[in-house]
Amino acid sequence: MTIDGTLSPSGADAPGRSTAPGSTSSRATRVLGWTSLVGIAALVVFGLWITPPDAQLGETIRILYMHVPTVSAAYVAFIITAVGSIAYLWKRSEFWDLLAASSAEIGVLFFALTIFNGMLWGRITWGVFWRWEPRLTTTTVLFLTYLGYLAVRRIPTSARTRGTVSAVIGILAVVNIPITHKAVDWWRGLHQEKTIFGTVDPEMQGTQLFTAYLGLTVFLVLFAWLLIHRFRLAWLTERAQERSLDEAIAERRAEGSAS
Amino acid sequence: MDVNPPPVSDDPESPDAEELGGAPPLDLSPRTARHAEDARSGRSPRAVLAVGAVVLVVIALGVVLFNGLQSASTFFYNVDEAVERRDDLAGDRFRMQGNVVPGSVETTDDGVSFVVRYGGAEVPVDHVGDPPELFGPEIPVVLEGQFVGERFASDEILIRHDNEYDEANPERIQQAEQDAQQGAAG
Repeated sequence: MTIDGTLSPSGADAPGRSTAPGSTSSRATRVLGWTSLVGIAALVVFGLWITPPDAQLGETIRILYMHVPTVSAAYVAFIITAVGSIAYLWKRSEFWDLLAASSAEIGVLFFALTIFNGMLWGRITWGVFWRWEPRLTTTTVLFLTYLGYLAVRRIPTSARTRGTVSAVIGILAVVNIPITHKAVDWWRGLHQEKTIFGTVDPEMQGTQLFTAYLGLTVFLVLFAWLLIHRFRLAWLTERAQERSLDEAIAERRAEGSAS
Repeated sequence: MDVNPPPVSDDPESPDAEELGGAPPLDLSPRTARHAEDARSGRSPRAVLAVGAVVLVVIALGVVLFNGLQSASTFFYNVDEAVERRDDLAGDRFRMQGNVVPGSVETTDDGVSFVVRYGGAEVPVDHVGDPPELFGPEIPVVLEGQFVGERFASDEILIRHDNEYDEANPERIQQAEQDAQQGAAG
């Protein structure tokens, strides 16, 4: 198992390790998991009961306590994908490739959630689920780009080609994040302007602002928890594929010597 | 073991495959064992699927970009701009943004009529259909429809919510200040 030794992210995975861990959880993930569970419970209490309804939006504002955190987590995920992609092209290590891929996958999950809860908000506030206005258009492009990233990774090819091609996409795709983020400032549209980020003086106050920040923290912890699990799963998947390849070769070799 | 490890990662079809000392001679003829078949029958449709998905995504991106850029740059005209371009816009469906003038809202048989104002220009609007929940005086709206003579025939009212949020608290200072200003003005 010489492959293990050279591609291992740390010295812990010694060459010839035959007993792969049966679980992706560790002490760190258990702490993160429980923290996000407690945090989500607190967010539900704050978001649904403690914060008062908005003067104009009424109860609808509660969607924002999830909308802003999910999109922030997605942006963080895509930035990690870009960093991992750059590091992969530089270091050529499996660690960075799998980190970029795992992060993109969870980013797509959070981004889909953002689009979904945003559409609910739009239906109630604007009166429509969707309009091709600047923020929503750039958001769609961003979402499709990362779906494409994940699709490209499924094309059967060598690990190196897969890593290189997807790293290039992972770097190019991140350019759209500032465009999407600034779309509300650059073009006229339906979407309101930035609520928390990029504003020195946030347009929220009191428990509303606290709940928004709480949601942000909770979803970032949840993201970290999911990312670690997803990365370990990806790592184990690679090892399992290597092992089945080894077994196939050993079987083949046995056939050859038997004949 | 360490000195001469079995070449597990080596490609059996590589040029040096037969030069490995100690390894038994390999039968390199194509075989019909399950591994080879799995690889052949599994790979091709999967590749087609993946390439198809990429092509679909690229096409979708193109359509979205085209649609988006066409309409996103002028998602709406403000009322004053729409009045300025009234001749160009005649018969065209477009979006117009303005604030609902207080006191102008009247319920009609098939909807609601009101006046929108922006940038010093006003346009009377006939809307067909129920206005959305947040519709009301002073609310910024984006209307979808077209000019019919001097009036704007709308069939969709979009509420343009800004990024200001206020807790619905009757004792808040802001409300008191607004009341004070209104008292001073009136």
